[in-house]
Amino acid sequence: MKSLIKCFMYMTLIIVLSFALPRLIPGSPLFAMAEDISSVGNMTKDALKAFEKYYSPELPLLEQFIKYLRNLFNLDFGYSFYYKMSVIQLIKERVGWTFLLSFSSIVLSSITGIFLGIKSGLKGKESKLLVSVFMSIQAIPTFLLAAIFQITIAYKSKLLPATGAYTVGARFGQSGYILDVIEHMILPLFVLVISQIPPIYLFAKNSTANVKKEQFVKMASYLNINKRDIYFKYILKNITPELLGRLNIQFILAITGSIFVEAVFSYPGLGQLLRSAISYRDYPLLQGILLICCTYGIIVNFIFELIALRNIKRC
Amino acid sequence: MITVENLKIIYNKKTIIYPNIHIKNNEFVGLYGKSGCGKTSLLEALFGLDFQGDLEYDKCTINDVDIKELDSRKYDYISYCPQFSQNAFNPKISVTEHIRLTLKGNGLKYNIDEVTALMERLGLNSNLLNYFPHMLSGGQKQRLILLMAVLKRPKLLVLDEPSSAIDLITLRNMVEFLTSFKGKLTIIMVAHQKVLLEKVADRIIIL
Amino acid sequence: MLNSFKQLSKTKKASIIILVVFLLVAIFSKFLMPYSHEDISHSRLLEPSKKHLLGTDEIGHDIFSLLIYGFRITIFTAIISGFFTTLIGTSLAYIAAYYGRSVKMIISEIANLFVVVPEIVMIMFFSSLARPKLIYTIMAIVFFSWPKVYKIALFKIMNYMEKNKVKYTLLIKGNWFDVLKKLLPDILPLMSTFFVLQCNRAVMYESSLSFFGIGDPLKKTWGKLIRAALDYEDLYYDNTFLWYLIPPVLCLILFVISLTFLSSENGED
Repeated sequence: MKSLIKCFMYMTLIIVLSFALPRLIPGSPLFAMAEDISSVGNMTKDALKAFEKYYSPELPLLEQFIKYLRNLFNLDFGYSFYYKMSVIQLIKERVGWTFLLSFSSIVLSSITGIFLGIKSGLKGKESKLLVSVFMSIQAIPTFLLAAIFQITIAYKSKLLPATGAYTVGARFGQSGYILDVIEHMILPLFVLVISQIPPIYLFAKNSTANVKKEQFVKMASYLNINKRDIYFKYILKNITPELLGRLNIQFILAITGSIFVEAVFSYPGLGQLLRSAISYRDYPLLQGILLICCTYGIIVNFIFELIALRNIKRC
Repeated sequence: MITVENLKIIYNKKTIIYPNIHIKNNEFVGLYGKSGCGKTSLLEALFGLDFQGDLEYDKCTINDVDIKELDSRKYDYISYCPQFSQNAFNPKISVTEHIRLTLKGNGLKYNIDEVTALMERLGLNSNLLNYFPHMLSGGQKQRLILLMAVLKRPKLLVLDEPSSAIDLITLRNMVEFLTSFKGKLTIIMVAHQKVLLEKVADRIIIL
Repeated sequence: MLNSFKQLSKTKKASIIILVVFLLVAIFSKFLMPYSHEDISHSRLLEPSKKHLLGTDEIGHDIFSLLIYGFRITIFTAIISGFFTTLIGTSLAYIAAYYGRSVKMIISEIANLFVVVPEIVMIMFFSSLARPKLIYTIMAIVFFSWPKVYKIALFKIMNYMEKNKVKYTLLIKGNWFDVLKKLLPDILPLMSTFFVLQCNRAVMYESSLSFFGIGDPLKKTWGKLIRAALDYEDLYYDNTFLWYLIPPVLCLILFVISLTFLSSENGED
């Protein structure tokens, strides 16, 4: 299948890029080591040692690459300087929270956005205010939205917890744990959903309005077909292919949004991991997160392509 | 059934004045005129949805109801087949589904025998039922639209150029088909070929 | 030009006015800053006063000067990033459209890759690796943003080429320069839309990067200012956030929203 080949191609490209670029970027310690310039000033001695062990810059480039590939196949992403754990272990621990947050947000924002979008698209008149509000929200960077809500609701009015996924000390299985998790999830989830609804709402609205203008929709009215049937069989069925494409992007948006929201709310997912990785220049961890995110994007894209193909095949 | 007196339609910066028209129940009336003389505008104004032009008239009623007061419920008893039959099909559903939905919307049951019989009379093969719109030819689409329009048992059938994509052989089928409905319901048909109208219509109005 | 301005919708007019004002502040920032942005000789954590319109931060900078300097740096970054992203994206799209076949396929697949993966993560990864200079941040942004421009530009250019196929086939007997000249009147409005869009994206990326602590610490964009404010521990203790955090946030939001409304086609009208 063509899509599978494309998928592998992308993965290969990403792996090669993630190997090559750090070594090419001036200022990167790998670049410095390759050039033997000692401008690796910002790393501690420990970090440097662990770095050398993983990246083996003393080996020729080809051997480095082979070692890199072998490590990847064994899921060895190296050792995090800061957390003193293997990267893959760290990711395994945190990724669950990220998925919890992002998938909940996708479900909520998609359902709301599509529903509202279709409703607006079917109405002849435009609600300019709603559109403007949504466009404004969409324009604001996610981390800013998160920070604003954190300040107003968590810090100033103290309505909801400001950080974390659960109150410190709470354990799974304890009574009230789930409620605690939910309480901590409300604010980050809320911000995520708010940041994701505008694009999908606007898209659904425009798609619906465009389909509605089509001749065959008018004809359905002339034939006296039920309104409900028109909504589902005519309009929904015809916006589905475009909507799927948009949903693909929403999935990616969810992950990147989640990263920022987690960073602001100190939610223990990949986002917070990324934040410390950047602060402490924890390169193995950075690389691991990058590879995971890219793989996620490629797989999601692959799945959506399959769905789209099936959709076309059916008729 | 339809009364039009002193109608003026202003659309796209053009003003068209229409002759008075009275159409009785169960009449078969043909509308004939050169292109651009306002046939389609008249049909759209009377029977379409969201007509964008302005109307001025002394009287304009369908079944003694002023057309301004009619909404989409008029399609309970009117079947309007506009000129764009080519694009009248939902690309995502099959022909059977189209027919089924039409019948459902009008509270009628789906009777496969009735449907196939009608299809035969129009020269349509019954295996077309499983086709999707992109597999149909222009002529097939036009005839299927006519089929669905008739299936929903209207009191008034309005056809705008129903034969433009049809070859002469199949045209005969259509003539027989339309003639068989004469007297049973009111039919208004717009066509380019005067000869066709003379064959089927009770009278012809020239615009 | 003034006539076409008058024809625009109210929001677009407002957006243009805001952006022009911002641009003017950026250009004349040197004259508008009461003190140098590097001057840390003031007393720390002063409240707003006549001498310090927005007070001072915990190191001793005058916040108002920092804000004005932020105008210059942020807008400069946005414009440069937007410009090069648009240039590279559209040029590659034209090359792909003109030469077609394998050239188009190779470039398109590479571009596709960058659309599929979350580009912000890539940008963060690579700019955190590089030396913390502004130029590298800009390069990272441009490097991962051009694919989005490329995709749409390719689509539109191919459409234009299809439309006037006869005209162009005659010209394809000529070289790529002639074809480009013919395409230019159609492409230029497209490029200006891209430019505005990409400036918008660049600001978002840059402020997100700053939020994570990536970027040139000497070139204090609004993003960096916001980050500095958020790092300050007692930000919410009294009302410090009102003059430390809120101003750069407002500027950023206003700038980004104006850019968004300017580049929107389906917003109002």
